[in-house]
Amino acid sequence: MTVRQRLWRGVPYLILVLSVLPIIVGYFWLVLSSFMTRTEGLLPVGNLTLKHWSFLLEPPFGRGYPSIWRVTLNTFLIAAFMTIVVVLVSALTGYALSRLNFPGRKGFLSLTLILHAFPSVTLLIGTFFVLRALNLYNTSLGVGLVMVGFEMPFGIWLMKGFFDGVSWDMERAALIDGASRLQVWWQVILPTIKPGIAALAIFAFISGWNAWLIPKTFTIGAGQQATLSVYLQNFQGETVAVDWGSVTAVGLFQLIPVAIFFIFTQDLLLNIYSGGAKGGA
Amino acid sequence: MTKKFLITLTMLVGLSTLVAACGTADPETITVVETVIVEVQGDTVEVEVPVGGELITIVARCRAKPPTEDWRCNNLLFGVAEVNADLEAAGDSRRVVLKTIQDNTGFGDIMQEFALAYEDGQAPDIVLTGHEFIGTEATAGRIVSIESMIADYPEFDNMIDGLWASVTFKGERWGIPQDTEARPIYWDMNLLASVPGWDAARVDGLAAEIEAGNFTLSDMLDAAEAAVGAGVVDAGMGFWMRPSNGTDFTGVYYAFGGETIDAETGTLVYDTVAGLKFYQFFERGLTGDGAHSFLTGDWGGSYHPNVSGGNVLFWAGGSWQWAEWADQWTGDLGGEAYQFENWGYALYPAGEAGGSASTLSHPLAYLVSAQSEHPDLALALIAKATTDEANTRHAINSTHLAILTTQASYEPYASAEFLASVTYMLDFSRFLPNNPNWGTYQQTTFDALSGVQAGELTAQEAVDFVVETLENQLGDEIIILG
Amino acid sequence: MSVSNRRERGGVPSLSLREPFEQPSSIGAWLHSRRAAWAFMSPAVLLITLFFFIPVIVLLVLSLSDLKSANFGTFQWWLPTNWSLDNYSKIIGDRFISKFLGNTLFYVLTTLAIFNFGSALLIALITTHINRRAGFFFRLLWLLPRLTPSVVYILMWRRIAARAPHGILNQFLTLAGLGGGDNLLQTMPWVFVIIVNGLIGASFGLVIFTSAIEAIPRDYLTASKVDGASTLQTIRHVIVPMIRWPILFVLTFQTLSLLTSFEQILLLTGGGPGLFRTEVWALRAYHLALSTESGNTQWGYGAAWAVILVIIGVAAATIYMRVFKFDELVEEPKIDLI
Repeated sequence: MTVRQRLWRGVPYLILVLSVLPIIVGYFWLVLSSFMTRTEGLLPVGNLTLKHWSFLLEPPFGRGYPSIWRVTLNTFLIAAFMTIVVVLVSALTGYALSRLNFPGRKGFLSLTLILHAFPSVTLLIGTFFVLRALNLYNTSLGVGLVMVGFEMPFGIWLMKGFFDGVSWDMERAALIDGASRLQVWWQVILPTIKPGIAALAIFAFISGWNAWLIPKTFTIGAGQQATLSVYLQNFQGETVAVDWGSVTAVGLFQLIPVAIFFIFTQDLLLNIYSGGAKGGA
Repeated sequence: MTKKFLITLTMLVGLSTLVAACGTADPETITVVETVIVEVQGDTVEVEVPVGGELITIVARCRAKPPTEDWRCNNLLFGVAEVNADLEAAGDSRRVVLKTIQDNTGFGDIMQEFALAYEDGQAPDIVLTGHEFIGTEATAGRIVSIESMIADYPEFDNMIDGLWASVTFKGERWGIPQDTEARPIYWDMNLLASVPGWDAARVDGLAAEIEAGNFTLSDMLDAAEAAVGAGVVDAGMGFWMRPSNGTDFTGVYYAFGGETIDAETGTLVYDTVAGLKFYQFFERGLTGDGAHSFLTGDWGGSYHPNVSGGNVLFWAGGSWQWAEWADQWTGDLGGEAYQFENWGYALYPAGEAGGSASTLSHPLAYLVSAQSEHPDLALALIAKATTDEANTRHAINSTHLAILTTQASYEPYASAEFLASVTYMLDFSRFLPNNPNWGTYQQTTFDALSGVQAGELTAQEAVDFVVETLENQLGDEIIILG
Repeated sequence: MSVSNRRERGGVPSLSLREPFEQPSSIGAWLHSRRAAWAFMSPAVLLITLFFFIPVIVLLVLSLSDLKSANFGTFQWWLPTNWSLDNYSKIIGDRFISKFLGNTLFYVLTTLAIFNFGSALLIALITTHINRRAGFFFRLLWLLPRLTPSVVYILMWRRIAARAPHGILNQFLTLAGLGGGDNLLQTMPWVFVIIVNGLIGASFGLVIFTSAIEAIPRDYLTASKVDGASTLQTIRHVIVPMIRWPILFVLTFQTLSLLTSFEQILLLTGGGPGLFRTEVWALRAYHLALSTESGNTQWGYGAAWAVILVIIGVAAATIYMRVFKFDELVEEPKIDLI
């Protein structure tokens, strides 16, 4: 390998490192700030302290406010509910749109895409009337369903794309062997689109985990049902001076589980291909 | 110290050994005398519901930044036992328990929540928010006028008279002020003393000069520019206000003699003469050397560190920020003692000679929902929280000002040095108008100010922009003066 | 032959297999297939009807009405007698309309080109061609902005842009002797608005492009290499055509996302500095009509602003579908029944 070739091999890494520089610097500050009394630029002022992280041990605002673990559990349950429902429903729908011919199929696809053009904040009032009619206002189920609904266009389109990429031959063989459509979908097709499911699961989980506008709009108060993002706002204020160290600490705490979740699913994304193309005809 | 009480309801045996396990707090008729045990901060409070009586849960929703502002709702909890005692004494068979919901949501957000909850039939009985929402809520019929009920509760007699104006809409009172504050102009005494033409004696006398109307906003800009010219502060650091949209700017508009509402009809008013002076003041400050770098939208990275860090000569802030600066920004220098030693403060100076000094106050108020089945009980609870003891607890913990005339001589309040020293400002207080369209008005006047700061609009163009936008959006719901 | 046929592993074109099944052979089979379709579709149809179609219809009606928080609950916005075009004429009377449109166009196109599409594709291509673990690591870094609660993410950027001594960038500029100056959000707001939004937006395309590229059978890439194609040629002639569907999807979806997004701009610059320097249409709608800083929320008026934005979005989506021959892409259910 010549020097020139070696240099060329370094170029992609150089581009990557430069591209993530602001991210690295910014997150370095976040971590630093959560452990220092104060910071000026990247320079710490004052002492190393753990006080911003004390919320892990005791509720920072006294007994009336839920502990961080309770809030974390709530957030996890909402995000998990959302991930499961979004993946299931999208996978069902994506399959039908990819594999079955029925009237309105094309129209449905273009329409779901166009729905994404409606800013969710403007649909809140309309959504409220629906929740009210269903008697789901101020309930966790209502919040979960609304978030699932807003995630649908994305999920359906993503899943359809992945189903399109799966060979028909294998499926046909299974159908000829007498399997039902649902069985084929579950046993034959779904395993071959794990990367797609992982991608959708990541996005669904993140949007559930960081959800703020919808839980805040459709529930009363941020008490025992609070999610992490809603809880985080207790640390902030505009004119009220903010405890920046605590905001960054809670923010990092909220970030860590999703990052771990991502690492886990990303692994799945990568490994699925290592054993060669199993799904081929 | 625990600042919020955990309420758990346990239904227990009444007079007999019978155990009733109804775990609910919905209004219900109770057939035997029962004792409800309410756990408050580790202590239990017993509520005895007589035969045939009804147990009523009052729900209160407060906007409060924990932990300093938790008393907004928590003060109501103290009243539960007293209200029940009063009910018993009066032969009323109802008994009351309280459920509180509070968190640090936005003022607008809590009212949107209230509107939706109301529409769904789940509105809380009491909601605490900024007084300027009364116009909207009363117009929509979501809150009740309490004008006729106020006289029934002697606690309200002590309210500082001026504060009632903030909760008055169409000639009636719609809420009970819960707290208020003042917005002083602060200055760094050391910096000011080294400005040409200034010395320690003149600095010491400044607050009095301002109150007398002898030192105007334009004099202040003179000092700011002189300070920049002499290198006492960096360019742009002579006079700062809040970095984002907010009520402070309306305070400056008032200082120039502006009006926001027509007292007769309740219609919003825009005074183009005062408006022009307002924009000319900022045009000079923001495009010149004196004040140009404050509208950054950045509180934590710019406003707080610079005003509290000895970089800015004059700045407008809130009385509630005093304690926070001491806690978070000047703590290592000596906190409050440092601030007393180095900073001065006073009312907003008059806009120009012949005007008068003023400040803008933004009281929060308890409002009673029109859906509440027992507004009298809601008000009774509010009355118990409107006492020297309860309100001072909140005032001291959150650095807000007194709302009762009797608090000035109430020892814990009087010994809170900073609060006591700014309470006089309430006599000079102006308020935001109670009108549903205030949000549009405030946003538009601020947009124009941003244009002036960027040099995109002259003062006159800014006024034209405001008039055009308000007329387009509000039609005949705005009166243009001048 | 369509894209997705070519994407099948093993590369056997399925076109010939599909033909005999394309038309239902009997009424019974036809009904059977409809039933299957309904079984698969009904959960999504139900969710979308409840949480999209109905709210959208409400939005359209609201845009004709004067519903606001001051008359919410008393005003009968659903009655046609209460409808008018007043909201729209108010919008036309706004003298800054062209500024908002210009800002929106600039913001969407620039962010899309540089980040949401450009960087996403570039980083996906690079990270799938280098060491697997290294690629994964860099993708994780690119994903961090999306994983972070937006309040904390924006706080971080404000700190990067702030005045010296608190600002990180200004600190470096000072150290480098370039003079740390004013808050950078004041002096170059667009640069920050685009980077801050772009770093969040790019991860969407990044994940989708990565998994699509990973899904390309290795044989194709190997064959291309054996034929002597350079890396760039392989990308251009093999990879890009094979991920046409994800490209259409990311472009369309992200265009619409950018059109309707305003949260980061709101938190970062609030539309400023100055008079609407970075105020995009969606933010204007929010400011004028949906934010509730004090008093009244004009839901009807806000809906009218949103409807105009939606019209722009639908027009954009339609253009994309034409350009990418959407019809061809969707006109190929693989089969239909058995």
